[in-house]
Amino acid sequence: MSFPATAKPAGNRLNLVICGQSGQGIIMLSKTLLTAFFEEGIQATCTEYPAITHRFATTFSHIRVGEGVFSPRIRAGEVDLIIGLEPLECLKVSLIHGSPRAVVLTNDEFIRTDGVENPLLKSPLLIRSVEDVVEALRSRGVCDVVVVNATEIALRTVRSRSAINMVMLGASHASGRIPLSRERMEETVASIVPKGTAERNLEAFRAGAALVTAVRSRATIDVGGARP
Amino acid sequence: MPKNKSYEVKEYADRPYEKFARNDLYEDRPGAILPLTCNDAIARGAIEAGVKVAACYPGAPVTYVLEALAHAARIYPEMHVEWSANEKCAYEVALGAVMSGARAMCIMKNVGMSWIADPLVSSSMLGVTGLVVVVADDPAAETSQVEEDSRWLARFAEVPVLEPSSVQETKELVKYAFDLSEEIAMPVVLRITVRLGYARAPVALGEIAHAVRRRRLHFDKTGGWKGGANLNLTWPDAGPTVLHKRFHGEVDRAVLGRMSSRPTQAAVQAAVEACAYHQVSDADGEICIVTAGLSHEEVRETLALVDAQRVAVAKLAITYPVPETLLRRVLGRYRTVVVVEEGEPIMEDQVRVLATMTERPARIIGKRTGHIPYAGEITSEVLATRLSRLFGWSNPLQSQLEAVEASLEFLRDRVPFRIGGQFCAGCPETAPTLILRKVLDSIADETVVCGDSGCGTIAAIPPIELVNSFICMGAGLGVAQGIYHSGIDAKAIAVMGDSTFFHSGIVELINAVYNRANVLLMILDNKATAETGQQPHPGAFGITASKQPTKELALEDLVRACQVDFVKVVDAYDVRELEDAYREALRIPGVSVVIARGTCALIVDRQRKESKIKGGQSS
Repeated sequence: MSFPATAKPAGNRLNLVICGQSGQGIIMLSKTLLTAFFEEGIQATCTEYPAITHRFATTFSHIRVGEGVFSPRIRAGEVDLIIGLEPLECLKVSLIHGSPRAVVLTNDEFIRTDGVENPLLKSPLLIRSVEDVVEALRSRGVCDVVVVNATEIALRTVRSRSAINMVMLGASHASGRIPLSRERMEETVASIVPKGTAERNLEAFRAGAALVTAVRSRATIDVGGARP
Repeated sequence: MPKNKSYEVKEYADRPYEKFARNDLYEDRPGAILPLTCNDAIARGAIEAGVKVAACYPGAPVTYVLEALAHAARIYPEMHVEWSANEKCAYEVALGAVMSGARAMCIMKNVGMSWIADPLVSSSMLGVTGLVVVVADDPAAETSQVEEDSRWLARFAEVPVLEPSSVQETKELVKYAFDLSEEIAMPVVLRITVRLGYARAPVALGEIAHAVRRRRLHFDKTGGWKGGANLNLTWPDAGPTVLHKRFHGEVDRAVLGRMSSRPTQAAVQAAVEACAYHQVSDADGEICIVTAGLSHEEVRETLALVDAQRVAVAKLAITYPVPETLLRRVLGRYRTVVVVEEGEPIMEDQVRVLATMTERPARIIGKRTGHIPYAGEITSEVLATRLSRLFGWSNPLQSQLEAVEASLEFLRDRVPFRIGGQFCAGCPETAPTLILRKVLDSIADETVVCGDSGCGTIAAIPPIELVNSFICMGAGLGVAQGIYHSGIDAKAIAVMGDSTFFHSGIVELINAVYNRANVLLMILDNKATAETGQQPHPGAFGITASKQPTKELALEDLVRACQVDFVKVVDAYDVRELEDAYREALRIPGVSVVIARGTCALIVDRQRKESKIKGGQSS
């Protein structure tokens, strides 16, 4: 894509995918991140796959950061950071799009699959738990997987599922792969979300960030540093 | 950031629909840069050009253009922005506006373009100015039933096609399209493809032509809008052909003296040659890639990957008709020309024709030679693979693509994802479709069910598997009539949504009654064009695109007025009533209609939240 001359080039390139099901707030995250990069003066472009308006349809967004980027579409196998709002969708996207060095953050709540066989399900349950997702990803060489109990955190902090996306955004930012300051992220979140909901969204964002920061400081899960 | 900083904006409470509205899209800030979606960029381009009338029937990926323009209409009240009943209406509304001197635009997806074929072809030579048709094609058919290339239809009407390659260029070309349309006195088509339609990128704003939008208008009765009939020709000069003759420079001088001199093919070609948005980056190699639209970005990606610095690239901004001088130079200078475009070989065929008129032209590679695929999106993966094979480059993506293929195998084995969506929780279309299937399964007749566009298509896939055919908007009821008339000994069934009924279904219903078909029509009345994002339509809530109150057409009254043999309105959540209604409707010979009414669950949910906000309860 062509960029206005005022945008500063980023130090590194970053390919980022946000994925989940329609209605989870993926387009909102995509808009937030693109705006944040723009405000920071970092070149970024994105293209969204908003599915249709139905719920339970695969939705994702490709965000490409850095200079020398032309098409907004990310090639399969070249994603560095994956933010998954639903584990099965995340598995699918991570396997196809993730590079071997990709950091994957996934919510642990399946949508409409509580481990029970159900004819309305989108897929049969060979993958039954988020542990299965992590295992499947590891077996295919995607090892840097962080599971975030985003639904639980969202319900606990703001009593609403609608904040899952912000919890995941906070967690992803704390993973250190997004080259933006905490202030920039929070300011952008506050300016993008529906009017009147900024405080709640920020609370969710901070709760997600706090969780991953705590995990990192205990060093129980390697969430990866900056890419060489 | 201080933790206690408050971002709450209270005045939003009484205007909940404005919660995502961004006023900066409509501001007079030339030079300001905003991160915009391609849809916003199209809307901004039109606003900058001084568009006064915009009309659209919703369709991915350009639905949000009209939503952005509808918001603009609340800021600039002289604008008229509407959700039209169908694409043909949208085009005709825009056409009437330009005949009156306004700038107008209509917006549609690829399958919508087919609907405007008749008025587009019939008006392309009249001499209308300031009319832009934005159409979004869907290579890979992500959200459409076909991969049709709308450029064929533009070519069919002999109108030019512009193709932007980036979000910024989309805004510029929309503006340019209005100027071009006024220069050549023809409608102009601007075509984007789905991946660009959903892109987001920083866009530099330009000036808004307020004076154009606000200029005083009058309908010019001498404008030639009656076509050939305007000229009061006497036998043997035929009326309508005169316009076509004028376009191709074949009309008699005496007749030409009585009509305006535009449009002509020569003027269109001259404008195409002079267009400043074509770009050629020459190189000292032997290969030139001719491309347009988002394919241009994919070509650049590919060339960066394979490090092919000696490959020249010619990017066309107008792909029908193509700039001849530029291409003949390319054909003469390079030994191989590769034509890369998404969809059908529209550019490629024109390049091949030009080659027949060029001395020792380059060898032309493209879809016709089997090197570039017709179907699907043209990605850098596709191009790197195809071009590497062709030119003997080593494919830098080889191992990566193999790994992806292995991952896909793994996924197919472990997690075979079903394609397609599901009904949302609480969807009012679940019970009507499921119960209809059960009723049909319980009767001995081999009944055929014909489906239609909209959320109801979900009933086509497991577990409901209601419908046996699906063609396009409104086609279900027509096909059902044909099935009955062919002699199949059972009532044929059609299922459609309420928006489809207003779009085109009503005509099929009239045809069914008139021609004594024995059919059952089930209308899923969810009070919205739900699949594209719950836009209002003539029978939904009595609200226009720009949130003005209007009449709400009663669906059952329209159906009754068509003199059907049976009509019943049923609560979409009342399982017993649904079953009784279906059984009764199947018993009655002739045309029977069951309307399953239940507002889209997503609208109900939103209304509940909005009333909570209005009621002053904090969420």
